[in-house]
Amino acid sequence: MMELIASLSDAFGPPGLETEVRRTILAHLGLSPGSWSSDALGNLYVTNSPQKEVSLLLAAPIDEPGLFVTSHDDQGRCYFAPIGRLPHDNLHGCLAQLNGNIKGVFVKAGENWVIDIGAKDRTVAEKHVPVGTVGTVAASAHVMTAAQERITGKAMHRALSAVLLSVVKQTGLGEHWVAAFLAQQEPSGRGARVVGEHWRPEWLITLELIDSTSEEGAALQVGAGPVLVLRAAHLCSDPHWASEVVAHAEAEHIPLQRFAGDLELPMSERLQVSGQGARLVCLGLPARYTDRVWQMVDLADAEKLARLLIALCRNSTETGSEL
Amino acid sequence: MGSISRLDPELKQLSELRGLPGQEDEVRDWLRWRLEAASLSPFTDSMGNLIVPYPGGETYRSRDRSHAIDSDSVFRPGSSSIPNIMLAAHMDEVGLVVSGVDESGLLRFQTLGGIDERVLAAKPVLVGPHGLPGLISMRPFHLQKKSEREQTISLHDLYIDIGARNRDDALRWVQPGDGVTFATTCEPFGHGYAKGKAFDDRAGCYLLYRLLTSGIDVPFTAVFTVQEEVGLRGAGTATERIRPDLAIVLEATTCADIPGTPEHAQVTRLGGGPAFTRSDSGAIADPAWTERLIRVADTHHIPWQWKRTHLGGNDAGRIHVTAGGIPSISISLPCRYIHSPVSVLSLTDLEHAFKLLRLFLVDVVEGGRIR
Repeated sequence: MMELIASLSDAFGPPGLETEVRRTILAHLGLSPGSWSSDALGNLYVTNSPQKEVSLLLAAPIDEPGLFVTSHDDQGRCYFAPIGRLPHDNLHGCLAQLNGNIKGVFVKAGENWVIDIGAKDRTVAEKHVPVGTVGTVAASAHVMTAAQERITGKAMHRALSAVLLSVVKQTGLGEHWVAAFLAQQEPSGRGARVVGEHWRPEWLITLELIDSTSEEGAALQVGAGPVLVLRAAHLCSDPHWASEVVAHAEAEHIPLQRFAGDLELPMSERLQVSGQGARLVCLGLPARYTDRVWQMVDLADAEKLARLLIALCRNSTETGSEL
Repeated sequence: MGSISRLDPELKQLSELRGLPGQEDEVRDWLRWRLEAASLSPFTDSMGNLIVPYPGGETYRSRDRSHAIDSDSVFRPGSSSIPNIMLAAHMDEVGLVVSGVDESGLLRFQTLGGIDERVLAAKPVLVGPHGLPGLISMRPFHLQKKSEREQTISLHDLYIDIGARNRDDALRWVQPGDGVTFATTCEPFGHGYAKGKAFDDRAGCYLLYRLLTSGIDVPFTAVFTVQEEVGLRGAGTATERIRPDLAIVLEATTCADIPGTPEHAQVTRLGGGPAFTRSDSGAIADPAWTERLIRVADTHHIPWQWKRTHLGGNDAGRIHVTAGGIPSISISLPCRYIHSPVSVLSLTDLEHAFKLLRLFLVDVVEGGRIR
């Protein structure tokens, strides 16, 4: 799973341009065209189930904070506007990736952030990186040498997609459930707004990164097991189903960390109320530095979360819609 | 249609019509009357959106009109059958609403939509359903303390004077809840510009109206939406009804090519051509269709520019997440001093936007092949 997390994290996927991430996912699954679909916003769905027979939807985000170039100065530097929650406070000196293959360095120019692509003047910069060019932070994933079971990279929330892929690989395509890889989550959960309406599931499992280094997540520990989000700023997990999830975790000997706090989780919040609404359980991976350029997750947490989801999906397959 | 580099009387009329959010009747009636006279069949939905199915010409009558989808169920450039295209422009404009009347007969008010309160003082307005003339006023300069003069003007400092003798006199003419619009005439301005109120989004309405009456062969559905300025409310219900394969939003957008604005903060430039959106606060424009739009513009040597900020938004913000997700793009006209009593647009930009729109629609139904 480590290699998969790394390749997913490294993929270029700012909001609305997640093609490379989708390709990585589909290549990993080796699916034929009939077993997946996508929608206008770029959400990717993997299932064996006809649309009206899905009772359970599992969702993980695939995009990452991005930017687009808005102008250039005489020194050949590029001004930009963010798409989503770009970690401005931590950009200085970090690498940028523009159009997927041009590199630059984030630097502060007075009050503004700019990207220096090494152009000698405005004309050269405009030629290589015209206004409208889309980019992201560039930060290749690394397995941490001090603790081989941890990994850091620019889009560690895609570890959640790796977990979901692991579930699909081990259980086969869902007969009553769909794995949804959600696009455009960074700008306020837009991809999620259309998913519920498309599938109208009765049950939802959303996968999120929960920051253990924030004030809210101070009680969480990376490496201590997946997180059950009982309550966040604008969502509540369904209490009865959350109890079922806890029971499954205990049966599988998977430790669960519980979280309740004012964390904003736009994808889960939007999914819960999209379409006709659904019973939701939000599960997560504890992570460090989710609002920074580099985030960190633990492989054992990811594997445990995958095991828990496999148990839940098998239960869904055995019981149909009677979760 | 000929050149629109001179101010078209119909653009002037559209600009001067009164149409606050939820009170778009004047604009809707103006459009409906003319579109019916052009043998079209506009109808109004429960929100007040004016929906106009445009059947197109003979060229496309015999072609397959089933919704064109590819393997991932989304209509993309290159599909062969005629898609269901929705073009949207909003009828409402920013303005004010009377919130109370004080003892001296002066009106207190709130804003409808995003307006910079600092630009309101000493502006003529039209109040209530009958357009009673009024003037936004504040305490005279001579009567202000020095500290007051140094403070930013807020709504609390402003009132509307309708010339009433007292509260009872004012209440004979005006009631709390009455709408207030800016009394700005639309006129030619400088070299190929026009000044007027409500170009956001009567300029888009004008483009759509001209398209509907231009005899274009391509079938589409036009929607003149309501309540955009207070939350993109009309666009959602219209999209749910039409469920288009592709939505094109015609808008006016911020233009900051003015002194004191550094180049990197100039969202668009007047006269630089219609603006395309990469991403704004409400939507990320569909990348494939945006690239197609650029190719059409470049092929036909039509100037265009990016909207160079992520701020602001338009009906695409609601449309693209409705009905299971709709590929959406925006074509916007740069406007100086948007969301204020008077704004300025380039008639050349308008002409380029119209030309591009016609060519792009043909390109879309021809399967995305450049001709």
